[in-house]
Amino acid sequence: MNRILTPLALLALGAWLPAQAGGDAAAAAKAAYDMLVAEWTAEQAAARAAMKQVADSAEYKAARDAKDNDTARALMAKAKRADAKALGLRALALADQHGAHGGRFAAYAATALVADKEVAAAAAERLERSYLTDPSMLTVLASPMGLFSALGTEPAKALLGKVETANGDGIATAWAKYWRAILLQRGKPTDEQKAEAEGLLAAAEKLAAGTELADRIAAPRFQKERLQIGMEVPDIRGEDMDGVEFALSDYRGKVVVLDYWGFW
Amino acid sequence: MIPHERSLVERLKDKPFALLGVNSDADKVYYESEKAQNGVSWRSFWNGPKGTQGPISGKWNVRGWPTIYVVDHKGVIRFMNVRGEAMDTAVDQLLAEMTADGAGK
Repeated sequence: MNRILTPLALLALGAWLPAQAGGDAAAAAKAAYDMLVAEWTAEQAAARAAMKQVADSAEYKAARDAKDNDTARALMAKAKRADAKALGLRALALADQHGAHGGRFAAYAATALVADKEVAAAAAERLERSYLTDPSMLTVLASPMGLFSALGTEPAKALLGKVETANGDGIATAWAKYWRAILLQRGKPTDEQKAEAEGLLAAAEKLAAGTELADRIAAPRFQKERLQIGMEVPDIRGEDMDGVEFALSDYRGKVVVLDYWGFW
Repeated sequence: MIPHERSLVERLKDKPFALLGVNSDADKVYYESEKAQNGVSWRSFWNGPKGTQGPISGKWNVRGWPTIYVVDHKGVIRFMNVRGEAMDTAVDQLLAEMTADGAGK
């Protein structure tokens, strides 16, 4: 029931907010965006439920028991999928509609909804045309691998080059250099490409000094120089799962197993 | 992995020992439900909403999950990526060293 109600409630909110705000374009864009995200979340949940329904059906179980994989696969294929492409294209239409405030729609099309080549190409074109220096570009640059693989390496590098030119010495440029280096290092890079990637990483680390990106670039070096057996363990400061701050060094004087883990 | 760690924590609950996690579940709601079901009692840093792409694992160059470091009472890294029995042996050795050292008195 919630799956249907939530987008509808947000739709009502979306219609109401801009009117209340006297045509506040930023608020309207935000409301429309929240609605889009809720819709995608609901579609994914519905798709998971549909797959589960098939998996639990007697027909499917019988096919599995009989090791009849073709039938099992055909049954599963009938389950309704989440349509990333349709929503991705709609997100891009919304970007057009919201103009200067539409960057988040293009970013969403380029990340969460980027299952498809057509969406990827359109999203890249839209980002390049209007949002090279928009904060939404940073959202894209935080997890662009889906976009890059749908787009292809050369168009991805071209887009990154434009981000660098448009953003000067900004953090977006640092990210763009970082990703261009990662793309250069993939597969079997030539010595020239390796050298270019090294140069890009060094430049990106400098531009991103003090940020998570700089840490990420420095990570292989950090591991080699600080994380070997016999070395004093570097401290970690952070929040626990309840949001309480603590440090690894709080546990000095005890034997500690530090475990990078998750349920996933 | 989790049942083993749960039993290790249980066995050493009166010793100067701590199992600390860096948890990379992007979704805290999911974490809480699994935590209850799996009897997870140990404390974890949260690696943030980007999950395995979060800042702590990023800085430490963690590529494989789980990645494990065993640190002695002086704060020195002594073992890496020990699992199961090897983890128990490593921890027991370090606790014995600590006692021999007269630390914690």
